[in-house]
Amino acid sequence: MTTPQNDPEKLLPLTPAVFYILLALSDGERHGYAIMQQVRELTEGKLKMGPGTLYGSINRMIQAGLIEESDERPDPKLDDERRRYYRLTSLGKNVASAEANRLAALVAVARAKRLVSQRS
Amino acid sequence: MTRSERVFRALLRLYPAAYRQDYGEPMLQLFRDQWRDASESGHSFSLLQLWIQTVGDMVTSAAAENAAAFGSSKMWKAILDLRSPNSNSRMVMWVILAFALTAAGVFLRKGLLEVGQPLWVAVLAVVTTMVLASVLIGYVMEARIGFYAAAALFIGVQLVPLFLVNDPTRWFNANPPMGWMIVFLGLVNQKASTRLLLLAGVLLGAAGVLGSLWSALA
Repeated sequence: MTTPQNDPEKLLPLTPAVFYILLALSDGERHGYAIMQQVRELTEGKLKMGPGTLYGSINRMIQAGLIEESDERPDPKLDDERRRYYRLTSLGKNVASAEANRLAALVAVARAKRLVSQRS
Repeated sequence: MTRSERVFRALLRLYPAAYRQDYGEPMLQLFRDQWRDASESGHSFSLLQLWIQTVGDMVTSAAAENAAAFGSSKMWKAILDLRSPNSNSRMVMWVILAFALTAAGVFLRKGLLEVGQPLWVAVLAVVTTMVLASVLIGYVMEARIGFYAAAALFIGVQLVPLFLVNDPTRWFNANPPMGWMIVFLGLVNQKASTRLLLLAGVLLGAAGVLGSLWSALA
């Protein structure tokens, strides 16, 4: 039986919000607001997630095993220790990679059909 | 706590309780961070923009979370289970419906026949019977033959009170298409008592139980 654990493609395609959250966490663990800021930066402000969308996505991603809450807490002097930090699971990394490959293949097809504009 | 935070906390009540318990505080913390950044930007428009975005986001995401919570609730699972041909809860539903319909039938007959009953009692009884029958038919469409047979009996007997209301010949003359049903049912009896209808209900309930058992064992 194939499960998302041994076949990440079962979870594809991802919604933009989920994919960007995975990308935001690919550099390391972050708390909610840091994820939101990173997503805004990655999308140049085009994807704005409010608290509801962000934590709704986080909730579903935790349930799907893509991310997990980090047990480690930062030094209280550096940050609010009540903040929750999230990090990618190995499944989350595999799914992010599979989605990136899927999108790359899609872009390759679009490029072959000359649908991708060349940026100078 | 600032007034904005109090408003935000009030908006959190839009979410299901379990979700609020898990993510209420992190959401509030995130809003505090957003509020601080918007305040530091020095533009009052930034705060207004933040509120507009936040309220829109919370309303839509709360609707999604409530739908998800209902989708995974025991109640919804029981409703879905009712549509499974071999479910126990479906069998229970049939038995409950059998007695509910019978009760509605008795109520209908009493409401329409007893002198001095207000019209709303009769109307309520008819509506109750129709709603229950509609629910029943909805499930029957997915049902096996045992359920179908039992449902046909339920509905058939529930129609009886309609023909006990007044002089059936007047019904027939006023509404010829209904005449065949009066003849078909063969149950036209102006003197039929509530006890007779209750007896029919008990038989009907028994048919429902047998039909359900048959379906469950098939």
